[in-house]
Order: sequence, then C-alpha cells, then structure tokens
Amino acid sequence: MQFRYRGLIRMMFTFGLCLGAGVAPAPGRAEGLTPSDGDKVKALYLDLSIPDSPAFAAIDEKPGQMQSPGTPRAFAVGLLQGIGEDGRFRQALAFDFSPYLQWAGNDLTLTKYKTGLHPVLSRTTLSLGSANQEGGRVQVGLGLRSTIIDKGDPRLDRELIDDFRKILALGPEPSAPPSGASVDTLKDLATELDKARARARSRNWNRMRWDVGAALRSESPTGEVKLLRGDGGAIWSSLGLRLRRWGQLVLFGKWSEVSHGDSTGTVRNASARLRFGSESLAYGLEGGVFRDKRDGVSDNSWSRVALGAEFRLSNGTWLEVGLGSDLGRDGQSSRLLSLANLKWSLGEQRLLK
Amino acid sequence: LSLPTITMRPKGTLQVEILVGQAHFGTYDVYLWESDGKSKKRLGEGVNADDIPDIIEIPGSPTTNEGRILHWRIRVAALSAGARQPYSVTVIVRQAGATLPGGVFPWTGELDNAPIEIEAGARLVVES
Repeated sequence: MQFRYRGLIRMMFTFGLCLGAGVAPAPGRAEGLTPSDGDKVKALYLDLSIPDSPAFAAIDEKPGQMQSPGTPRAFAVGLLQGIGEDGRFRQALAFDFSPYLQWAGNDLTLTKYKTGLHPVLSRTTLSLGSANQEGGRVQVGLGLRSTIIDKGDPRLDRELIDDFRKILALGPEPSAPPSGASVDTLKDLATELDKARARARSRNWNRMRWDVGAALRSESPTGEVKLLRGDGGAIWSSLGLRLRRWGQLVLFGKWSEVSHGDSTGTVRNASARLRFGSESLAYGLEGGVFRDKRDGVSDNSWSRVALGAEFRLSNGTWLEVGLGSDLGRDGQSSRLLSLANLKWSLGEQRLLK
Repeated sequence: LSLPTITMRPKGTLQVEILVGQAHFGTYDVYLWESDGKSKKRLGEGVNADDIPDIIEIPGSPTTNEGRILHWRIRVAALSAGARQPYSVTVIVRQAGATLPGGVFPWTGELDNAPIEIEAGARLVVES
C-alpha cells in the first residue's frame, strides 16, 4: 500500500507540473469532476490496441451473447441457426473463439504449448458477427486476431509456474480410497494465485509483444447470403518493445477501407507511444498521424500529441490524467488543450496499454 | 458410490497418464490401494510443466492387481487471470500401450481465478 500512495503522489506531482507549465485548462473543465469525464480522457488518448473481436470493429456493432463453439460441428450448427433455409440471415451472429484451443486444446499440455507454433495458434482468435441494418440490409464482419510474439505470456513464465507449483502442492496423503469422483473449487487458494499472477504482470508488463489483426466487412442489401459483397476491411499491427525495466515503446499502425454510399476511401494511422513507469503506474507520451481520404469527397491529414498518466488504485479501478491536442485537423484549434479528471472503470480496461 | 472398473487383460504392464489440456497448470499424485482399501502405495506424483512425461507405471502383474483401486488427485489452475476459461483433464489407463476398456476418465468445465481439485479412482479387474 505504501508503494501505491507514493505512486499516487508522484502522478499528482507530474500532473501538477503539466498544469504549472502554462497549460491552461479548457473552459469549464477540471472542476466538478464526474465519472462521465472519463470519456474525454479516453478520447484524448490514442487507442493503440487491436480490437479483441475485429469482426465487430469492422461492422461497428457491439456483440450480443458471444458464442464459443467447442467443436467444428457446434460452429456449423451455430452458423446454420443464424441463417434460415431461405438463405437469409435470420438472427445476428456473434462468434469469437480460438479455433486451435477449441478444437485441439484438450490435448494441449503446458509442455506441448512451449514448442513450435502452439503458442501462436493458441493466441489466434477468429470472430464472426452480423448486424441487421435498416431496409433489410445485413452487415457481416469476419475477423482474425493473433499475438505473434508475447515474451510475457504467463504460460511461458518459469517464475509464475514455480509459484503455482508451491501454492498448489497437494496436501497430506489420502487416508482412504475415493468412494466416487469429485471436482472441488479451492477458493481459499485463489488469493495466493492472484498474487502470483500480479507479480508476473509486474515482471512482464513491458515485455516484447506483437499483435496483429484483420477484418473484412461485407454487406447484403436484402439480407440474402448469396448477395454478400465485400464492403471494406481493416488491418492492425501493434508492436511493444521493452525499454529496460522502466519503459516500453509501442508502435502501432492501422489501415482501413471504408465505403459510404458511392464513395470509398481509406483511413490510415501510424502512432507511437513511449510508456514508462510500472504495471500499476504509467506515464505516456504519444503521437500519431492520420490520413482520411474519401474519393471525391475529402482528403484530411492531421496529427495528435498527448501526454498522460494513469495509476491503478485497486484491481480494475484506474485514475487517469491527460492533456493533448489534435494538430491540423479541420475545424479544430491547434492550441494545446488540457483535460483532467477521474475515471472509474471496471475490469482490466486501461488506456495506456 | 461404487467405483468404476477398468478391465485388464491377463498380461501386460499397466500405465496411467494424466493429461491436463488447454495449456493450464496441473499437479497430481497417484496411489494404488489394496482391494480392502486399508493400505496403499504411492505410485508417483508430478506437474505438467516440466519435461517429464506425465505417465506413471503401475507395478505388479494384472493378476496381483486384481481388485486393487487406482486413486488419483489432480489440481488444475489457469496461469492467466480471467473467468470462464475452459479446462480439460483426462486420465488414461493403458496396458502395453493400448487404452483399456473403461480406462478413460475425462473432465471438462470452466475455471476462474481459483483452482480445482479432481479426486477419483477406479477398481482394476482382470477380464474373465
């Protein structure tokens, strides 16, 4: 806890320095902080992550109840349930799963995982989603996401495995043979395992990692499968490089093709983030260039710079502070804006990831 | 509850394999009890994270093991945090390399941050 408070003070000090450097808060900001201000901070940072389910990013649709078919047959059945006998999409599809883990994972031991392409195959997920649009139109997205390199993969972390070995040591020898089969959840060991996982995250937060993703979007004007036509797509790449113990450089690129009515275009983004600190306290300096080109409509280029800090108060709760600006964007002032607020979020979501 | 039976042929060495899938961490131990359940022998223990095969030989001939109880305890945990992670554990009993009738014991389910412990066993019988 002491460390946490020291980190909090350091972060506040950093933010104080930023404000003291002559950066005035935007009008009406930085006072009366509310949870909704978190969205402003979120919008300030560049999103250098690859969507968990690229298919849904391609169709801009939030997935409903996601399905993870355990076998090829279950996948086929799920697919057929979404498509009627008349060849039309009947209900929204929402699949996201690792084909390799789903279909070959039962034989994938930890020892086997360490060899060959098993880690990459295990970390590769496939997503498929559809969304019903106005006028009977249906959008379908197909996505692929993979972590090609992950030097911080917990399944390959020797220290974490040693910790698990100690925590999960079986107790005294049994005093009688079993009378049947039992499966018990050992809740009293969960805290110790969580501590070991947290130590592993601290060790590995800035280890080298390369994620890639791709998505294709198609659309059917009537909802018939046979009328599906390609309607765009996107490719993502995010490479995290370790800078000794204290930092990480993230290089990110995204290319997407979009269409609006008769016009088509591409959006390109190349960004970089220098992040330093620790797993629970991070400072970030980032910049990105964007180009949004629509045939016969517009051709916009702009860049963004941002500086921020985030601090983990507890599991799933982050205090985030940031300032930055878009430069050269149509209709936007190029002066440096500042935003400061508290954002409370649940889960493992964070901005400077 | 009555224990399941594994039917052995009269000849051939017995082995038991502990297979913890989905690349989760697993640790286990295996015992062989006398048919009356009053005394036992520890056959072995291990973890699935090393390079040692998770296969344990069952000593004795099928006839001497007639009626004895094979007993295993397995703990499984996910190395990465997260809810609803599928797990798979299979215990396979083989004789001379061939899986025996009744010799496959599978468990599947979902793990969260807490580990699970599977404890089960089976009685060995020689085919008549």
